Amino acid sequence: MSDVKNGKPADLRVPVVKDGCGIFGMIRKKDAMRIAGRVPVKGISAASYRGGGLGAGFASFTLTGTAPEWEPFRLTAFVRDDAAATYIRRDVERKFGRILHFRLDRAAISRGGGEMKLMTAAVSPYSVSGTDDLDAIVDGINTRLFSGRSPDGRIVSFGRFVEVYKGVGHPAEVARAYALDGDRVSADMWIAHTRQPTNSPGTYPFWSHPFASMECAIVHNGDISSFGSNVNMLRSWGFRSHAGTDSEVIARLMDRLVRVEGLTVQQACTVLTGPMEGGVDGEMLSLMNRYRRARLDGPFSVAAGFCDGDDLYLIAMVDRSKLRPMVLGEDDGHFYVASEETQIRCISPEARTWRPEPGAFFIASLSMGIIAGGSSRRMAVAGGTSMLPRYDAQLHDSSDDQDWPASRDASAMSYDDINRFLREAAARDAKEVALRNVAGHRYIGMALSSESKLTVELHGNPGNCLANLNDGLFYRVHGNIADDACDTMHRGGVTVHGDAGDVLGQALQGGFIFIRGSAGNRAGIQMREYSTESGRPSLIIGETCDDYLCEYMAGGAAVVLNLLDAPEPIGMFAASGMVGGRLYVRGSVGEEHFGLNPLKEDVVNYLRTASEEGLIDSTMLGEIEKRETLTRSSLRSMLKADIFSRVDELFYTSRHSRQLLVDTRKLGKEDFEYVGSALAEFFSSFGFTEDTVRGILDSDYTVVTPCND
Amino acid sequence: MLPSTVLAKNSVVINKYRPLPKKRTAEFWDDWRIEHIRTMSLSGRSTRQPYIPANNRTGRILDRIFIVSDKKMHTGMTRTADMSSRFCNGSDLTLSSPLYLGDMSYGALSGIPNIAIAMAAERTGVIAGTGEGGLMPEITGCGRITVQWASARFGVDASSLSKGQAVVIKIGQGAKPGIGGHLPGAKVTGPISAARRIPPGRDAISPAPHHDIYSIEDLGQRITALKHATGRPVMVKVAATNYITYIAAGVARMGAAGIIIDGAGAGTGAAPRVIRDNTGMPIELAVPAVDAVLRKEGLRENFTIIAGGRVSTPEDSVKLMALGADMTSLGTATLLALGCLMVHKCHTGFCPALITNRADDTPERTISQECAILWISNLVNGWTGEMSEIMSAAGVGRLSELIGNRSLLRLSGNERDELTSILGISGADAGNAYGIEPGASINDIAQDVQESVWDEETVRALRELSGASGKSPREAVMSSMGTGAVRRSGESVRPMDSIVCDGAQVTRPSIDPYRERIDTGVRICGGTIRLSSPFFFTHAPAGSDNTDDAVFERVASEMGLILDSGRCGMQGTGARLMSALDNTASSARIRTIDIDTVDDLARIGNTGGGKGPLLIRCPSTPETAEKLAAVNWNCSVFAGVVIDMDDRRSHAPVELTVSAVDALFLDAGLRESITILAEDDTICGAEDIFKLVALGADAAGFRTAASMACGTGTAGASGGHGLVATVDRKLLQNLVAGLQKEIKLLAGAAGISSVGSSLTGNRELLRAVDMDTWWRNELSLKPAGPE
Repeated sequence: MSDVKNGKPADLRVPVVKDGCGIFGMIRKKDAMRIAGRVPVKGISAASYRGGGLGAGFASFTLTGTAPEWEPFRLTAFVRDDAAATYIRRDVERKFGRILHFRLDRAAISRGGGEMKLMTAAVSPYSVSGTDDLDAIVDGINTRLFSGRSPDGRIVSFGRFVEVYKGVGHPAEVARAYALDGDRVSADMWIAHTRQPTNSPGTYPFWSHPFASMECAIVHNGDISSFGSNVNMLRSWGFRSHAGTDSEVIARLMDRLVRVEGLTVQQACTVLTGPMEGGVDGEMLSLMNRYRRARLDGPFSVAAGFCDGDDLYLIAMVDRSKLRPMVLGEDDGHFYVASEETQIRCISPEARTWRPEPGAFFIASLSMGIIAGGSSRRMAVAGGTSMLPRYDAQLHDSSDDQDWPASRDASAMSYDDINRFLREAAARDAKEVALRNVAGHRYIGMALSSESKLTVELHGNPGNCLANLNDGLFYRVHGNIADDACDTMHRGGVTVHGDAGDVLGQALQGGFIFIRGSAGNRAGIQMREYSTESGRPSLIIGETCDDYLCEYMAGGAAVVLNLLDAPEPIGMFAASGMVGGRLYVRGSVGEEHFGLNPLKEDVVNYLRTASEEGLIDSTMLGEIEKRETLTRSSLRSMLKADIFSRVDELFYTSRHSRQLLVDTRKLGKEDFEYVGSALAEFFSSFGFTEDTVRGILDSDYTVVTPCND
Repeated sequence: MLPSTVLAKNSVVINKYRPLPKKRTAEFWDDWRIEHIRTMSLSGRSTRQPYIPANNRTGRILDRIFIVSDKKMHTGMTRTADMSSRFCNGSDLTLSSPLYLGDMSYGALSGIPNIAIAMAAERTGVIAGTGEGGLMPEITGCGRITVQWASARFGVDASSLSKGQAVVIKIGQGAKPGIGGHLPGAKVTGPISAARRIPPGRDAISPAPHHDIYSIEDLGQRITALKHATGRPVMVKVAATNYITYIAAGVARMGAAGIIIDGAGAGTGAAPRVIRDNTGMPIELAVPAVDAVLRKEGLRENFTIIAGGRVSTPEDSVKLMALGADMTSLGTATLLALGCLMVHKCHTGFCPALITNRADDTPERTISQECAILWISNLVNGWTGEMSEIMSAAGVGRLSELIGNRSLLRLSGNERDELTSILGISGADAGNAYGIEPGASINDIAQDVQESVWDEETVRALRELSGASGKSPREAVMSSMGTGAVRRSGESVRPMDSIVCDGAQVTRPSIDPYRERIDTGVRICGGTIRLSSPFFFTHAPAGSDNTDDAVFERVASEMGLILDSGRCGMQGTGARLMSALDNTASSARIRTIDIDTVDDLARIGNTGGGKGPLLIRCPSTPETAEKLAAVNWNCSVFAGVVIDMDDRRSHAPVELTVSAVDALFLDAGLRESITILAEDDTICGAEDIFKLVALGADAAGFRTAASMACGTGTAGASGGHGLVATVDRKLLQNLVAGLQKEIKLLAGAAGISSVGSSLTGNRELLRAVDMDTWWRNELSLKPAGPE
């Protein structure tokens, strides 16, 4: 322990710069051509609601075919002046390798006091074995350059197969500055970013994404709560210089875990996304414990590129509660990661898209294709139709009125234009209007009078906040919808021939939502039924749902039909905090999917002591230990009343949440009275045949209601 | 519930103030503050004594700030300052006075108070927030209200949102940053159900986070949507938390017209005690920091800052405005004007002043609406008058000369430089620092620590957690209006008491521990032992009885914890046993060896049996880390460190040693394989455990708190140190479950879902409030407030 001078803590403080942003990534398939720079530029620019023009960037990855050890390292740095560039050059030459090329010939794209020059260099290492020291050398240089209050510069990229292009500005501006916006630069894999800095003026180009560490580059949207712990992990590995962003930390963790600690890309993703205990076992559990400080907590969606010298990997990760948006996509030649579906559709209109499950990761490599799909529910039914785009080519022009066509092309319209059009339609007492080429438009239907009974056909993929506060309009969407649809909806209805994003129908209190495909996290949370006037709110989902379905539900009916018979149609924590209403899931769903259950380990621990004291017999204990999950009702049936009641008090009960009644049965008369008319409406909306309907209805359903004793 | 016929017979209409009950302990809302408000509320005029008397100034930072006065105040002779202002960008409303009558919902208040507040705002020309309770029909016509969009969407539709001068997106409140609300079904009566549009008789839950707002960009989306839907300006209400400057800049950049910042200690009907006392920062630290950042980023103009949270006198309002606020928000003060007796019963539904009792359709027991409107109107007028007098005395004629004019302020008494620079104001005198001088021996203050830690409220909270008293064992202890939280305001004895925890909001959501998974488990000793929560029991303090060891050992075992049964009397005799633990592992026993005998490895073999991980036990001293650095950390021999505050050689606060040892192992690259356990018998609640872990301990050990909480027999509220009789096993189990819930609340509020991986050593989640600078640097903590 010679490097520890004394026990006094060094300064643990690092600057914090946090942000919320748009991300994009794509990788070619083995047989496809390299991807020209203009493609990712288009992909990131399509996230038009994201980024504040205060930072954007791209990273390209290319496998050249040469042996890795012959490939020079490419250094990219931003420097205040020539002195800083010279310092970097000399230090690298002294410690690492021979400089092959060196350029310091243009101002990096920046503004407002953060002007810096761009330095690029190619370096051939003196020894092959010493290449792993490069991150330490870079850290040393960055520490030195970053010591004052106004930084003198920073090395932002230093890999062999990755190039980083970033600056302060909109994606298109940055792309132009680096001449990426044409066909001149092409690569096997790209990631891209547009930044909305929330708390720093974003004047320095090195605060733009991507952040890179050797052969890993990442773009990120989120704000992790584990930042302090993650920095501690890096500190343990000897890193001293931090730009202060979550994203830089994530890049280093990923790089280090794979390159130095020897984890596979999958293992590294598991460590970073960190499934809750019980989700992994054996070796993975011990890796997760060893690298627990690398685990990311709080909201994040990350797109990363990684090169191991032989293969390229496009990686996408989301946090355990999936608090930031992400869409995955695939077409004949590529895999995609994006913040919004529009970003993929604008490049590949027919791509199949899906959303990652909470806490999941997606990995696709150039040579192997999909390694991890990001959604076990979707992968389980990948042959089904659910992952196909849902475009209805036929447009029903409902009006022939010459001076006021009731069908419009939305591609050049803003959300304001769209809503003005809808208001106008309502004022003209139009019955039905249609919009084509809806591409991520947010707020559709906001601020419309409750008097209107208009039906709106939307073709394309509407953006966030569709039909919020809806009070009587009907929407038919031919395509997927995004997040936060139908928030606080009172009347009317939304029918979607496609999938829905996260937080669908929050505080739904009247009218219906019909989704032919799947919904993401937190569908139907806070649903409630309060008056006969609005009728019973109903949410019916054709296929599957992720976690927290109907959390806080207080009334109404929610149904998940699992039409493709996925083995696990819903995620965890469904109906957690439910106080009213009913949730139906077709098929028999394990009780552990509902509510909040304690960790099995804690309950078993308690029972083991009880067994030692002779309060339960050891066979019983053995049986309990063997169970994968311990639900309240299974324990109730196994334990003596007094033991159960204590276990219940200590581990299952809280004054703050009600117990749930989970019952698996065929639908009965009372159920049809409760939800039958909504189901009939659903089936007719999507043109199901009578036979199909009979089959669907004649199944077992798992019915969840709150226990009101 | 009594049948309504009985209520009719006992019909009560409150139309005058009831005398204040005698207080048993010192409280922030003392008799002077309450009487001062009552005087204004009865007269409608200034009391002519607007300044807080020296004796009633608490340890609060704001109470130590004084306003420069040009001349001695001549009441009646001062020229009157112009108090009018425009409400916010996007609204053409002019206010007669920069006062916002805080957001208190219908349901939290019983109806008449809500109507009275809205009508008094109308009468006096100020503005009132209606809270998240929907609009009562009686209020709908009031022109000077704001309407809330909150996480539960109570009573919200496009039309109700347009009925206010502005829409307020309520993200958080100062009393409980990162924590949601829960109105039990019994309180959801007919009228409440109608106003909130929720089913009657069902629990009404306000989720802790907004599920449409997980980030600044989501907030921007919601601001745009609400502006688009209503045509009204949108404001955002948040609690003052670690990242308040980032949040405020984000709120401004996303197009909001203003921000309502609610400081720590703000009023509420019900908040978990552990959150109220340990999360968020005082408003007087948040306001100048936010003002400074917004100016720096060119976002301050046309952006309204409303400051709330313990605005107790007109002097407070003037000072907060001089620190940078455009307006102040009166919440608790308004309730006091309504006759609140500050008996802390809001959460029970039985309010003797009939302010926060159940809103139902029996109007027999109520506060007089006429009186209520008059009292609040009078308060506004008196408050405005006193503000005007104070401003005049300071030579300020209009609000624009007051707002952000820090030259009007002085920080008095024993001020350290750091606080003056954080606040951006000058100190009246540099004085001598209070608290413990650096390097002072802990023995000198040991007596003080014991007295101040085990105050009545702390012991009561522990006993409620265990179920030894109260009705909700194992549940986080709830608190109500106005109580507590005086200790950390400049009167801290332990560094820990000057630390606050984060409340996640806007940039990331908090987590609702009642409905979502938070893992409190930690793995120690190379992952071989899992604790269900980051705490454990220690041996009985030196010289006291250890007959309870068997109970502690049993409960530790069944609740997934450990007991350190090492005896102080055996100190220096070589290996000692930490009793077990995790029954699954054959390596269940942890051995410890004293730091002074680590060289003598031969003896370990002789006395320890060589089974299980071996921890080095050391006292808490400034030299501990240095001594540990000299150890040969061959990890196959030593698995970690126990820092034992109860060791007689200890003379530095345990948190300082924990932080230093954590830093030592981080820098050496060994932290992943080294376990750090901290033992301190002044640990008196979940907050202490949480803070010690965030400072670098894997788990924190205690004993006295458990004995106090679970002792039967002679245990007293003011129970002496270690004198409590037999510990009850069930109570101890309850305590463990309760502490775990409180730790989950703290973790959830900070947006942490896994204690073991994301909390340990995560100092970023902590801030120092008015802490000795030397301590703060030793702990590597950032000060609360500045960017």
